[in-house]
Amino acid sequence: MSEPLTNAGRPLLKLAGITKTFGPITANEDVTFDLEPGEIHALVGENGAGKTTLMRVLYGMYQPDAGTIHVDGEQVEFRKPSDSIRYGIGMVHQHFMLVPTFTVAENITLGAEPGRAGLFDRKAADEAIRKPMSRLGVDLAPNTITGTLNVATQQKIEITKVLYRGARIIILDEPTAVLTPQETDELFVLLRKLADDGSSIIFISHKLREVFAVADRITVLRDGRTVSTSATAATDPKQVVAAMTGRGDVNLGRVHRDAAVADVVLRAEGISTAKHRHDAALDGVSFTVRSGEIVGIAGVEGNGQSVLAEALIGTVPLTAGTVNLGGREITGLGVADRRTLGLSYVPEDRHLEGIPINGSVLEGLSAGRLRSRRSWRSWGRAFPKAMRAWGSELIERYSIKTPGYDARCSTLSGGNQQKIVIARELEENPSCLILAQPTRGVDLGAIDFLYGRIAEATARGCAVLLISADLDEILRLSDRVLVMYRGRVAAEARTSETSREQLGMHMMGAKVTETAA
Amino acid sequence: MEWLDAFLASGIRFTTPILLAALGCLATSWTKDLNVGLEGAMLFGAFFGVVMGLTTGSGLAAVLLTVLLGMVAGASFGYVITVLRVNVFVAGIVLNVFGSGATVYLLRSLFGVKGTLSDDRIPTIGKITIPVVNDIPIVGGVLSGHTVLTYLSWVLVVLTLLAARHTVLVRHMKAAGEHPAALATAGGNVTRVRILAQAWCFGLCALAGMQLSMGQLSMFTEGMTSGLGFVALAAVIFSRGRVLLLALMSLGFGLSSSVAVQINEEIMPPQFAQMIPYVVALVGLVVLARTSRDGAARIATPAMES
Repeated sequence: MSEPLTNAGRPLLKLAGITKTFGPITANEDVTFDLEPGEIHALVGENGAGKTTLMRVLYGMYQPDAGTIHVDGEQVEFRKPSDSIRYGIGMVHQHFMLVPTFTVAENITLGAEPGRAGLFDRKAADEAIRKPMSRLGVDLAPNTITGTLNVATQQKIEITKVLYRGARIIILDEPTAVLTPQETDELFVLLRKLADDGSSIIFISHKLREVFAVADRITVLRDGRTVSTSATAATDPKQVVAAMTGRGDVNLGRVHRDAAVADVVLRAEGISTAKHRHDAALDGVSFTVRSGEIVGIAGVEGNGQSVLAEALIGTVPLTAGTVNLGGREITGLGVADRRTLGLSYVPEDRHLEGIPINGSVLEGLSAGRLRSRRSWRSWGRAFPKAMRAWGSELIERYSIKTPGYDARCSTLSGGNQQKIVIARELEENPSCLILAQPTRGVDLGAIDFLYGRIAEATARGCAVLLISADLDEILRLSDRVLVMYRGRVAAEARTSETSREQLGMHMMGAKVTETAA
Repeated sequence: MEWLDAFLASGIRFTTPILLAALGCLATSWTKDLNVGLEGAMLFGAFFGVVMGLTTGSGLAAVLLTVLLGMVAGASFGYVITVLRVNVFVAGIVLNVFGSGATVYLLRSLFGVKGTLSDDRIPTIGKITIPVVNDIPIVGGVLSGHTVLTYLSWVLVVLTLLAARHTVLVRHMKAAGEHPAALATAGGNVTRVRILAQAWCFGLCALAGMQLSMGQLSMFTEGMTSGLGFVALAAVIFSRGRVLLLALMSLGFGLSSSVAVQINEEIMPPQFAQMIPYVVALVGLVVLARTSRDGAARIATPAMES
């Protein structure tokens, strides 16, 4: 797997003129990308810019309509993943490709099991995975059940899997989405080590801070086309953002707000729940949110944040504790009553709970209004002229890019879908707004816009609870941060008095903080 | 001790078709394409075993041909549920209904018989009597005097156990069931292993059916599987993919079926006695659902991500 010297100066991998369409949608158009030996090359772009499509073409999951792929100067054609694996290309997927009940050894060797005549040779497998595991500094018994490991370790198992298959080109698709800041830093050290050992790495991300921390070169995709490729040292975040969005005025710093923090609006006291789906149970969570204030809830996913949002809006019952809204106890009330009292909610899963994905834009916008306006709730038409006019006005005011209020929500981009949800919730003029992962899958331009609307709401006196897995988002928006760990509030701090690193420590649990300190 | 001898011997006889069908179905539970059409597949097996037997005149040829036919049918069934994306649950139910209807129709159109086809020329599957063992009370009834298929089913338990521990194929089946995308991105062929599991399942169901029509008896009766396929299905769900537990469950159901037949009319009316295996299965499933850590056994079709 070592790189022959004669190849010096020639790219290890070269994609040229890649075009891929899905029906009327062009996902990639004339994309060019190359990779040097021992290089970390970042591929950045908004959601829907075509990063994933390009990598799936490279991994043999899609066949391009046009364009060529060269590995080591040889033109190749990948029809299935095993073709590209044979050429030393490995992919670490955003959603882990690990069977939870299999052992570490079984997962790493899956698809290329050592042994003869269809028999799985455990001893040989344990032996074969030792070297790639030690390269990554993973010290685990090969018979450990994969599902019991934490996410960061599972990710290392994924990388081990790729190394075991002899990959010299490693594609990492949004690898940091599931990691704490410390784990992210650790991953970057590891990637640099792999690159120094001669592996080439394609790092897909939309988090610029990380791209600038780890990459040698950056290629930007926008609307399926290559916009620029430049050495990291020769560019800066502002330029890259401009290339990604096609705009020069996107704010990446703290969002400006002028809101006076006043009385407590939302007060949770000692709330607990039963365990719900994959999330941790809440265990005595208490906090307040004041009017005009944004309180961020940080934490590694699965530590109770999703349950917290659902418990507050009323879809998950409490086993203990009380919730007060504007001085009135709402603990036993249903969702409709809570909303009537001024609570609004932007759910985490936009497609499932946020908008009617197969319904029209107007249906998505009017869902709250249909209920709250008595005159429109009657047996008459759901969408009289006044409602349609109101919908059109909202589309204008929130600059939702859609052919009209009749368009199906599923045809809109993630950012525009989220604008529908935010518009609907803010139009109810809530006294308290709960945002769960409000900008997941939303492009930078739309994020900027949504933050502006949220800031306006707080200026009107709205209390905002912001639940986000993205620490940058919390640091840019909130006044105070609570860190959740295993269903409890592990730490609380003013945003101005804390740092990413401190929050990251708390996200991994207090115990880790003590041993690390 | 006469009764105990008779009870155990008949228990073993009842266990064989349940065990064979359950071992077949096990593979489909690994790929999470649980085949609920065991009953229909067994009926076809029982019927075509008899047809092949009458045509070829040889028991061995009948068994081999019917198993082959079963595997081809299983591969087609696998194709339908994977490539054509028909829901496996629906397809299984259709198979059951189709099985009971088609065998009745074919019985009438091919042989002009209603209800039962009984013919001296139907070959039977050989029984093995182990010389000395046969004369030992109780043990003799358990170990000796059964059909070749009974002994084959025991061998298959051991083979399946070894296969589950040591073969790549079973690893891939389990991966295809639990995380198909993981197998696909590692270069494995998810569709192929899912089809293979169905072919295996149908092949063993064919054996189970022939044990009924050519092993215990030498005739074919409409609906002669009488729910054994569902009992086997219960055993598979109960065992959650573990081979030894599956064999024990099948034995338990076989013995309780035997109780149903052997029990004296003075103790219990026969209608109630016949319910015993199904009550055992129901109670077993309730216990499983209450003790299972993940709530309940999952019946699901694997879905590829994007």
